[in-house]
Amino acid sequence: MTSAMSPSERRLQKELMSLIKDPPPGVSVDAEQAEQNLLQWTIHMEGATGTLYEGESFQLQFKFSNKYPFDSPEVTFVGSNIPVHPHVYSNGHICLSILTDDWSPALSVQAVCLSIVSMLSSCREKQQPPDNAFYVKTCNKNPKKTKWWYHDDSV
Amino acid sequence: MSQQERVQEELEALEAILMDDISITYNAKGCAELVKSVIFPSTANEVDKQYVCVTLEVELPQDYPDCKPVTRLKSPRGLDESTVDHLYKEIANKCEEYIGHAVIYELIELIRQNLTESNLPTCQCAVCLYGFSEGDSFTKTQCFHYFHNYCLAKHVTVNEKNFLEEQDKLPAWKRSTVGFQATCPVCREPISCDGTKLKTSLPPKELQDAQKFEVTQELKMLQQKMQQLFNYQKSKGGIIDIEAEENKLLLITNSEDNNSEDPGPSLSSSNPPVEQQPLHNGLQNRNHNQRHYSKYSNR
Repeated sequence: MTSAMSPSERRLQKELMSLIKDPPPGVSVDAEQAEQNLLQWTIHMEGATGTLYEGESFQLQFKFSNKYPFDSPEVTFVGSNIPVHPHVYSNGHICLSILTDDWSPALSVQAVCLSIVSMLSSCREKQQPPDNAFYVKTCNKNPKKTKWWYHDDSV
Repeated sequence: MSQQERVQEELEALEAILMDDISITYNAKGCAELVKSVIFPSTANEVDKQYVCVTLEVELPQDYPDCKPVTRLKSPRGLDESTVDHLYKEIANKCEEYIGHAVIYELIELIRQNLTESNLPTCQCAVCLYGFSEGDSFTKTQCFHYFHNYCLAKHVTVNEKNFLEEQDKLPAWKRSTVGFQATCPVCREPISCDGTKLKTSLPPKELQDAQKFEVTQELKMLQQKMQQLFNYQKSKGGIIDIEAEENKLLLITNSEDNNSEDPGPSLSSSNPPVEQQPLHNGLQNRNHNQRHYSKYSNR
């Protein structure tokens, strides 16, 4: 075991514990993987009942830098099922303001998960973002390097 | 005196005592519906020493005061859930006790008294998720959120750096004219803080002492290894089973040879000595079954 943990690891350790003990509905974390490497988590998410995504399940990948929680986590959808949603690109990148400009250290993995569930749930029509093809071809691998323009609060 | 007059009298008294600290909402018929008051601990007017607060909402049903009012605690600041739950319980008791009498002032006093007794944030710092211990330097923002100075300093520093970087990218005419404004990590309200003072603060005690938490991790590993050992011992017949005890004496001689080749699951040297114990026993079980047997019968 490492003897000294950085403050970001300590905080992640706490978040992991509370996410294991008391996860939001439909959200579960791969605890063993996260324990191996606190800086990268995989989270399973189920589409909320009564929404367009009911019955679907998704995987989210969280990557944390050693500046967490002052620096936002890098969050993308991964795996075989990427939700079709106006704010989710087919490469898994998510256009969500709290993941970049509006991030605050008072937010958490749990808060981000809730935001994403809610973003999916308020969707009225499954549609890819209008610029999906172009963005996917030209974007950086890291969604945080994209200069997002947040304009649509309805979904 | 009619019911409405009694309520009116109570509210007039409240307004006379609390003045601006209370707000009353009337319905279309002119009857009072909702009484709201933000309650602070009594600190002899030292406003900067009020570290907690809560908003009490009292909804007055038509039959009030002959029935209990509906009470809600809103926007608790610096109070954790268990403190709020405790307050609710005390409020319920008080309401029960005062059926038929004016209770609002009693409720306000009850809450104020509770807040005064525990005028230290019981919540956690939203940045590091650790609590506030005695001796920690912390900040209560104007919006009643609490942070260790150490954590808030980091937040403000990072935000300021980001702000300046963003400004640098903009053309001159688009740049902000007001400069950097620190905001509360929780509610994004603008906050004023003394950056230099914050930056010299020491890290919070609980965060530094967080080693305790690591021990539980280690314990978990220990548990896993113990489980492995247990399974290993079990598979090798090292676990005492009362019913199997008689047969075991016979079995042991067969497994004796295996011992030299198979020392069992290896233990890394970093593990605490506690772990040695079961392994030791396990070996004893196999090598010196006689002794083990007597040990068992002594218990």
